[in-house]
Amino acid sequence: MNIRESFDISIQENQQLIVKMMKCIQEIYVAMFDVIKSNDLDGAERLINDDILVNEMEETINEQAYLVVLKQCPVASDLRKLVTSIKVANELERVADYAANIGVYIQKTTQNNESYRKLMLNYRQPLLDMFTVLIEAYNESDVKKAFKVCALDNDIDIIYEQQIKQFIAITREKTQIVAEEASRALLVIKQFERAGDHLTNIAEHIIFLRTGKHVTLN
Amino acid sequence: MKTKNIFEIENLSVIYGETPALKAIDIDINEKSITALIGPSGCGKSTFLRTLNRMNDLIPECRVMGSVMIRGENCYENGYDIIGLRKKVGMVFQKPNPFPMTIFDNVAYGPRCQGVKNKETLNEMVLEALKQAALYDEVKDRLESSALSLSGGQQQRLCIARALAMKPEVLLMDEPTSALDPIATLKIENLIERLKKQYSIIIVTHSMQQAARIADYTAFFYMGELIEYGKTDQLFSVPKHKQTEDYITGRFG
Ligand SMILES: Nc1ncnc2c1ncn2[C@@H]1O[C@H](COP(=O)(O)OP(=O)(O)O)[C@@H](O)[C@H]1O
Ligand SMILES: [Mg+2]
Repeated sequence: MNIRESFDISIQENQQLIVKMMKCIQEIYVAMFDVIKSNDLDGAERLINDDILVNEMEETINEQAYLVVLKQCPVASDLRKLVTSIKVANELERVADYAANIGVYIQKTTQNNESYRKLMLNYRQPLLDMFTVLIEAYNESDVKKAFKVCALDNDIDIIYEQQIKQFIAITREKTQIVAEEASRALLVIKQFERAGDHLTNIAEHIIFLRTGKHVTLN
Repeated sequence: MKTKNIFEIENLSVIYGETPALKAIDIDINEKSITALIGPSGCGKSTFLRTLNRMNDLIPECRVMGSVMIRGENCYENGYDIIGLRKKVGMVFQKPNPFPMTIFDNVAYGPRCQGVKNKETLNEMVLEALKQAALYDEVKDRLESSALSLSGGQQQRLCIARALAMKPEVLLMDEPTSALDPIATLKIENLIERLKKQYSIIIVTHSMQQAARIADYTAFFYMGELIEYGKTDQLFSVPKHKQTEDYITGRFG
């Protein structure tokens, strides 16, 4: 007989909220790349508004976790799960902020900057893959998959380094692009790079969940 | 930093008649720290505690094998001074058990048995013990009242004072707060944490949170075996054995 039935249910609920939040932000990222591709101004507005939804999800996870800690005095892996959920929700919230920032970028940018956007779309696949592997890693507390998330982040870092050079080349070539436009575009790819870092932090938390050991993958 | 051991226990087994209660326990206990013993009822915690001052000798069919070294001497060796051992290793029980006499006489009982007759010396010893047990302020004006007039928590601190009056090195405590209310419990816990500067304390507790709060080291027993022993912080955050994890998270059996 399971003598901690309601406790187990609370922990499952907590884990499900995290997975729901991950999936939600993955969808936001799919939408975000569509918005970049089609320069969709309404879509950009939606990205900005979605951020409120994500903030609420983080709040819900925090409140739920605090209450379970309060009522159940968890120890060992139970405690790690709950503390980790608070940290993961925080990382996810940051990742969603970047999508909102990009919504703002799309709204503010005026010039036709096809060549920048093409480069931006290079982050689509590795970032979406990171989400997919991360969700699996979290669901299965799978350390190997957590490491795979980190490998994907390395790909993003490589793309980022290369693209900085490409951005500068494009800016030099097309002298009609104003400095403001170029700087904004550079800031966009920086957001993708940071998103990769935060998703990797989540992978670190998953390893802690499983092993009780802190690792640094970034 | 390497800490010194107060007890070094090797291959300790205890049998009541035919029933084994402890099976080949090896454990070293650090001096001047708090060691908690946890585990389900009947796993052998009290039996273990009693081997440390040979209280098991009082149980007719109880047999003890192996060695219990205290400060490097095996207290189960023939000719070991048992009276001296009980003086060195004091004990406090689950239910406060003050003697039906005055507060003063309760604490003076041990020293008197030891032959302390000088009134002043006795007085000093009693007050010192009451202060150490954080009871003095509450009873200083009624030392001649009956100990039975004290509250449960005060009675338990009186029992601790009584044990301390013997100037022990070790205090054994068998669920010392399980009969107390939460505030009285915290008072005892606070007291125990203060006492560890001077004494080595071994405490049996059914409260996992209590072990986590006050113990430096925790030992988990199950069915007469020592399953896991280590720093409390590590045992409660990342236990090494699945049985420990199952027990402390309340998912046992
Ligand atoms: N005086 C005794 N006579 C016979 N059996 C005993 C006696 N004391 C304890 N036992 C048995 O030894 C085992 C361990 O008991 P105990 O040390 O009291 O466990 P705990 O303190 O962990 O609850 C149990 O099976 C118990 O029934
Ligand atoms: Mg017992």
